Order: sequence, then C-alpha cells, then structure tokens
Amino acid sequence: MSGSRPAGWNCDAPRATGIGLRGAHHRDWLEGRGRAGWLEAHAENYFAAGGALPAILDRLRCDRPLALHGVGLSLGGIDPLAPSHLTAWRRLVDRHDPCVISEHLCWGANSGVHFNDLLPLPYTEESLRHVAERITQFQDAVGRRVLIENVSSYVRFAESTLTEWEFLAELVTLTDCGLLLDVNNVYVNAINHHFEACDFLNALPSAAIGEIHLAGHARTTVEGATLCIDTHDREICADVWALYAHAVRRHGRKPTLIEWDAALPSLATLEAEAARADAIAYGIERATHD
Amino acid sequence: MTELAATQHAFAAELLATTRPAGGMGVYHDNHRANVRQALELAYPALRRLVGAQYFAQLVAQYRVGTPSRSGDLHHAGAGFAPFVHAHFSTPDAAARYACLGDVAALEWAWQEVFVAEDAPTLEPNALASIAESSWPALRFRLHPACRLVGSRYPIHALWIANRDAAGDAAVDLDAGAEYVFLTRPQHEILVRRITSAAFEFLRALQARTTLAEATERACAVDSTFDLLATLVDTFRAGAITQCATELAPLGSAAQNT
Repeated sequence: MSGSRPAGWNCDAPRATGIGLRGAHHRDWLEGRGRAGWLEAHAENYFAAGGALPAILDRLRCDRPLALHGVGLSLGGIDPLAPSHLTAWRRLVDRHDPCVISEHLCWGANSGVHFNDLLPLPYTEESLRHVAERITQFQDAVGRRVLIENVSSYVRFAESTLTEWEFLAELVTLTDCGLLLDVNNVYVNAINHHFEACDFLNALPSAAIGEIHLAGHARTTVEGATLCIDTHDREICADVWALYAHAVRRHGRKPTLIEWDAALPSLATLEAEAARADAIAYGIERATHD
Repeated sequence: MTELAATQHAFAAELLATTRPAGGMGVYHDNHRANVRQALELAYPALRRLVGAQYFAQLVAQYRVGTPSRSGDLHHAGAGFAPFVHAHFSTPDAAARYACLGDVAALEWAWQEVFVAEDAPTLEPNALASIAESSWPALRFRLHPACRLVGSRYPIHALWIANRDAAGDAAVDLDAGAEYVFLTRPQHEILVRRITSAAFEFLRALQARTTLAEATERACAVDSTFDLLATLVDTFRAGAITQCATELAPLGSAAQNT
C-alpha cells in the first residue's frame, strides 16, 4: 500500500523523548536553552497566515525534528471536515515538513458550533465507518499518514458495541493510519470506566504505534465516585510511569512525548520527565537484549 | 437521523444548556466554558484588567451564548467579542464613558489580527523617487495586510498601554480626548503608533484605495496643517506600504515587488 503513497507519507519521530512546544517556552527554545529529542506543536496554534508564529516553527525546525499535533479537526464529528481547516493543515505540513502528524479519536463540533474540546465517541460500527472515512479524507488532504490518539473520557455511551481498543485497532486496519498511544489517557479511562489498563495496551497492534504521550492528570470525586481528569497540569504519576514501562515491554521502544498544558513549569521540569522516559525505555531495551 | 448524529446533537445540547449536567458531563460543560474564557483572556488582557476578572467572565458567558465558537482554531472565537463589548456598553443605560471599553476591545482585536496577518513585501520611501512627480496625485497605495486603524473619542492608546499587562498602573484621564492608533507588522515585530486625526483620515483613505490627491484632501479637511510629505515618509518607513502605482497590480503579483 505504501508504494503508491507520496514521498514522506510515513515518517518517524526520533527515539529520544520529545517535549510539547508551548508559547510560554518559545523564547527558551529559540535561545537554545532547551534540550529534547524533538518538539511537538499544536497545529492550530500555528495556523497564522504569517508573522512570528510560523517563523518560530521555521527556526525551531532547524534545531530538531518537529511533529504537528491537531486538536481541532473534529474527526469524529457529523459536520463535514472544514475545507479551510484542511487547507491550513496542508499549508503547515508543506512549510514545516513535520516528522509526524497526529489527531484525536474524538469530535469537537456540532451544527457549526465548536466546543474546542476532545469529546468522546460511541464505539459502534457506524462510528467506525464514519471515522475511518474521515481519517482517509484527512490523510489524502495533507499527504501524510496520521497517527490517531486515544482521548480521556468522563462519560460512556450505552450504544457502544466495541471497546475503545478494539475500535482503535479496527481503524488501523481500515485506514492504514498509525496510533498515538496516550498512556495517561488509557490510565484515566481505566479508572473512570473500570477496566484493566493492561487489557487496553495489550490489544493494540505494536507496529501501528508511532508515538506515545505522557502527561499528568487530576483525581477528584464526583457524586461519590473517583473521576480522573486529563489536566496536563502536573507531573506524571507513578502508576502512569509503570504503565509506560508496560507499554514499552509489550510494544517496544516508541518515540515518546511529554505533554504539559496548564500551570506550565520551567523547561527543566519537562526535561527531567523526558530523561526519565528515556531511562525507562533504555532500561527495558537493555534487559530485552541481554 | 443516524444514531451517531442523534448522540452528538444530544451531547451538544447538554454542553450548551445553562444548567450544569451531573456526573462526567459536568466536566465537559466546565471545559467548554473555560476554553472560551481562556482564549478571550489571552486576546483581551487590557479589557479584562479594566473591567476586572469577574465582570470579564460574565461578559464572556453572555457572548458565548449569543456567539458560539465557529472554528476548530480558537483564535477565531475572539473575533466577535470586540463588537459584542461595544454593543454591550452602547445601550442607553450604560454610562457614557464605558463606551471607551468597546474601543479598547477593538484595539486589542486589531492587535490580534496584526499578529497573524499574512507576510508581504514592503517598499522604502525611495520607491516614490522612481515615479514622475506629475503622476503623484493619481497614485494609489496597497497597504501591508497587517495594517489596522482604530480611532476613538477616548484615549484608547493610553488605556491600552496602561492595562495590557498587570504591571502597568499609569492613571489615565478619560477626558484627555480622542486618540487614533495605527498598527502594522512590517516583519515580525508589531508596531503600534499613536497618530493624528488627519493622518488617521489619510491612511483610512489610502487603505480604501483612493488616489493620493483624494486622501490628502480628506486629511486637510480634518486639519489644514496636515503635513503630507512627513506622513507619507513615516508610513513608508513603518513598512506599511507594499505597492504604489497609478494602477495597482492585482494581488499575487505584489510578491514580485520585493
């Protein structure tokens, strides 16, 4: 299949752990203060037609590989994919030549109203056909294979007939997309929806996983039940580190990224988390080879 | 309607409802509100400081209901907020001087537009030297895509300078009179300049593609001492002009002007 694809269709991020690029750290990165294997930018934050933002990516792209991560396409939504959004994506990919592009298994808009959030889908045959068709449309529009990320969710749908992991694996088969495995989101959903996180991880096709995300979450109580919320505002917890190690043992070392979106710490904190991810993956690789 | 569409319509209705839903849905309800508020806080820092965080949140809540976000790019969610704020403080029961808040909001949104506008080549003042003086009156100008003009009966430039970050604390006299602001972005640095009312009229005319003669006439109608040459040179030096000719070439060929 890949033989008929355009050049650069299927690229890889580096093995050393990357860090999510946020505006508050632009200056640090531009002035050469940060250390990371690669950077990942939220695509929509750089949709500007001109000015400083795209120029910052031009500049940072010279120092290390850059991945683009979409948060606003509404892949699972009912409204048609917005042509202007696809055009902006294409322009960004052509200009910055990212090492990886990704979007989420979610929807975000309905009847023209955008909620600017990653909203969950019911896992049904109908959703599967719908999302698969739109992933293909997106991949063709930008000329790249896309990695699809699993999202955190706080509700479930009675009509779901597939598990989230079955749904993701089916998408890979139907569209030749890759997967962005967010280990924190797996953990959050395992707590919120009462399943074994390892069942989720073990069911994914190893070869399709092109990237792993790690982040911090909040734990709260809603109407007497524990609810984990994907806040990206704190350090990665011990359980998620353990789950990351499980994922690496199961699927091999994958390009990994540290995400932090609110209450941003200094780059040193993010670098320390990246170094820890590298150490875990390296240790497992060593043990496997011995 | 398909099952998936029905599910999403029902979900969307819960997010838009005024009552916060119970359980996990409440998290999405909160997120939606926080996302829009945070985007507007980033785009309108001076307005937020002027009205206070609490009143700003109320404004955002009213705005969100009437003007929901229409794009997956949150930047666009802020576009309608300045006109909303303007209308909000133009009602008969709003105190007259609150009208300045709508104008400060307009200035802040202009800044946002300047920040993301297209890049374009700019001309130096000596571009005029190659044009026969006899044809100057008939010249028309294409301003840089980032050029914006915002005028107010109130000292909006001073208000904006004093409030755009939390450190500013200069007292601003609301009766100090009208202020006119010109913004552009020749490279990546944003230029925000207070200009005279005559220069404001002049640039507004140029932006509307009138001839230089017509623009000068309009500026002189505002102030008979208007200094055409100085204003024109300043405008070129600000990197605000991408083309000048008696007949402007269509966009797209402008790039050949570098």
